[in-house]
Amino acid sequence: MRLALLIPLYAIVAIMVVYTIRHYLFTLNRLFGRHRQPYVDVGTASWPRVAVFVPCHNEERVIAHMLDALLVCDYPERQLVIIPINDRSTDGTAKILAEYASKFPVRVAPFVRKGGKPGKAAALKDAMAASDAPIHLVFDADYLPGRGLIKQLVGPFFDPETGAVMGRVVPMNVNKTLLTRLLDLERTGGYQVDQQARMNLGLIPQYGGTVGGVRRAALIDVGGWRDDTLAEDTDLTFRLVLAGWEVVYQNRSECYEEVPESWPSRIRQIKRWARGHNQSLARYWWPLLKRPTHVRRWKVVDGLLLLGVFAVGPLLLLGWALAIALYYMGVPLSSGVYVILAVAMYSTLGNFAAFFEVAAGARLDGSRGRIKLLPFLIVGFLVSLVSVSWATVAKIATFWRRDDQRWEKTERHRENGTVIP
Amino acid sequence: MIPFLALLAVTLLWMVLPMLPALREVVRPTDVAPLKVVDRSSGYVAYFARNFRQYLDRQMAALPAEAQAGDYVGKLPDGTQFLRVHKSPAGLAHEVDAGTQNRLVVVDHSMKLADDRTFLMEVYARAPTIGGAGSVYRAIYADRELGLGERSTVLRWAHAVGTLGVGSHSVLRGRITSDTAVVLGGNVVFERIGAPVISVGTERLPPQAPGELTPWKPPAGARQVGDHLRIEGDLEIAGGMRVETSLVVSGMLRLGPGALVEGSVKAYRDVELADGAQVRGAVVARRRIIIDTAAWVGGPAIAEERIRIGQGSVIGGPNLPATVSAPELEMMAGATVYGQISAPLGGRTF
Repeated sequence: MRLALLIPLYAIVAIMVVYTIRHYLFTLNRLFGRHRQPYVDVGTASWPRVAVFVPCHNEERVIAHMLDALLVCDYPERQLVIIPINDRSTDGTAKILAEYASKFPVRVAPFVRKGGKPGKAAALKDAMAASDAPIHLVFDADYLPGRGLIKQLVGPFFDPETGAVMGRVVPMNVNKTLLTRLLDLERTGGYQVDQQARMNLGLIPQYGGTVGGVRRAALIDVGGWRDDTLAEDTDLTFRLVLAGWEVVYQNRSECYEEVPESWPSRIRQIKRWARGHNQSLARYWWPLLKRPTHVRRWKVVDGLLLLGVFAVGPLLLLGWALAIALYYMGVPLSSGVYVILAVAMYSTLGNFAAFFEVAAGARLDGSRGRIKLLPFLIVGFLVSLVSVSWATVAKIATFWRRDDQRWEKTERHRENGTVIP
Repeated sequence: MIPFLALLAVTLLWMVLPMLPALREVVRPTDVAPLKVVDRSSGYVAYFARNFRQYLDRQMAALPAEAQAGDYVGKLPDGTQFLRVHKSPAGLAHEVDAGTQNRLVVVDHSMKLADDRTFLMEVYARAPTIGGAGSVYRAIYADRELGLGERSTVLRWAHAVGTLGVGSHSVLRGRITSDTAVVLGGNVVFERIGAPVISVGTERLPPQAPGELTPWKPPAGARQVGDHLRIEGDLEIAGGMRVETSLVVSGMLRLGPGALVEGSVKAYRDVELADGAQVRGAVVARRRIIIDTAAWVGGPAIAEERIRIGQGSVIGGPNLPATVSAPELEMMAGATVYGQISAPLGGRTF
């Protein structure tokens, strides 16, 4: 009985140590390593045709801002078509899209979806046939791309190996609640440090499903969008890597987004991410571990750790439960000064690895005041831990139900008269 | 009981102490604006030049009538001191020290400026202007042609609507742009340049497409990935071969003399183009791109370490704008780029 509890506990501790080391490697790389952004200066070129897809399900609060931003971008007009996907909207989205289509009949070509599977992946899958442009970019409807963003996102596709490109997401509604401020910090750590470090180290930056795009030939090569996943972005990332394509992250290609302003909205969002991401873990851990010849060993390690990020929460909770159970069973985990040193070291370094990453990101961004909120991240961390664990357990409990693809749409908060940065 | 409560209170206080800055930031926010990192236009190579021109138009339009013509020393409406030189360089005698001008200078008449001048503020040349040798400019905007003398230094940016010529041994920090052409002399150091055509000396046109070529056959082990062919290890394509697809090579790639690739190429190490080799698409290298004499690249050339463009080699074309981007860049005589150059650690002409 003791062993049955001790072995999984030590395995969990080992996994946590690996993730801790990963956090530190990424952070130290960003603080002291070479910043790799080879495509960011491609400002002049014979630009290819591009289709920008904007999935919209009840987006009347935000979609006009998005389209306005795209219409003033500096990409050659004749080479760009904007395809808002009206995905079964029941609010005023259809009317807004119709207005834009009649005002800009060549540049805005809405794709209407009245039935079929719900969710972004299914919408993209259906709409993909609407354009044969060699580059397909995707933005969520609440995003606000800057004038030069389309060119920046297309630049990496001049590299024939680039299958997908991901830009940086920057929260716009930071000043709304404590949650939006914490999410702003999380995004800083996730993009400024995590994604860019992966790019620097030649690992696997993740295509995030928005502020990014995919080469149509690569998409066709890996079988197109899959609509049986809640995380079409993670799913596509790994299919591309396994097939021999590169995913590129560009930290300088920033775009404003609206983050959830209420905890229930955030919890729904992260539960959906967890379910989708864990689906990808189940699908791709073994193909990745088998390592195709073109995938380097370190990419495999990074890919497995990336696939596992949403499994860490439940593992951590399980580890806590095991440790408590063993304590009350009177089982000493070990003894001696080494254990004390190990525990002290993990408490000092391990628990704060993610915080170190966020602080380093905020420092790189040159923002000083917001770093002070760092201790409150523990709140977001605990909420995420419980939400992700709940979603994971629920997914495991219903793994036999292949139709468990319920799409939780993220609530929009933007009001009329909101100042757009 | 009291000692326990006291201990508890002290412990709680000790725990709360590190939270005080956080609590203060929650109650009285000091940093709640969205990050000012979303880059709206600054990636545009002539961004600062255009902004300066717009600023100056606004300021000059607001000047009183007597300040709108002739030589004039005064202040712009925002308080910036400026000097208009309308008839002769003699107006530039308003200097802090011999040779140092600390006013914004507007040159209204075609002229050649004296040697070894230092302009601490921007220069706006409305007429064709030739700078003196050894001069230092913070920034300079020209509505017509602009020539920078030998050993000139530009600290922030320079822009000419007409052709911008740069004398030999000049140092160009920041962004150098023209709406027509930039012609560089020998031994010029630069960082970013943008113009329809950028050349070291006389510009060259893209070479003619080669005539009869032998179709290239992929080596054993080559794998089709989507629209490109992937080859593990090094690859050498013999001269006179025609490759009809895009290539990704996990080692080094060398194109022999006169070889032609119809698509784009990428190598994890160096890419070498021998004399007269041509790539219709882009060339990407994780390390260096070395282009020999009279070769041609139709799309962007991107390297993560260094690019060398040989004598008379061309990147892009008159109707095929392209970017050359690498931390370091070397351009030989006659090397021509149609579009934009980025070499943040330094480019140099020979």
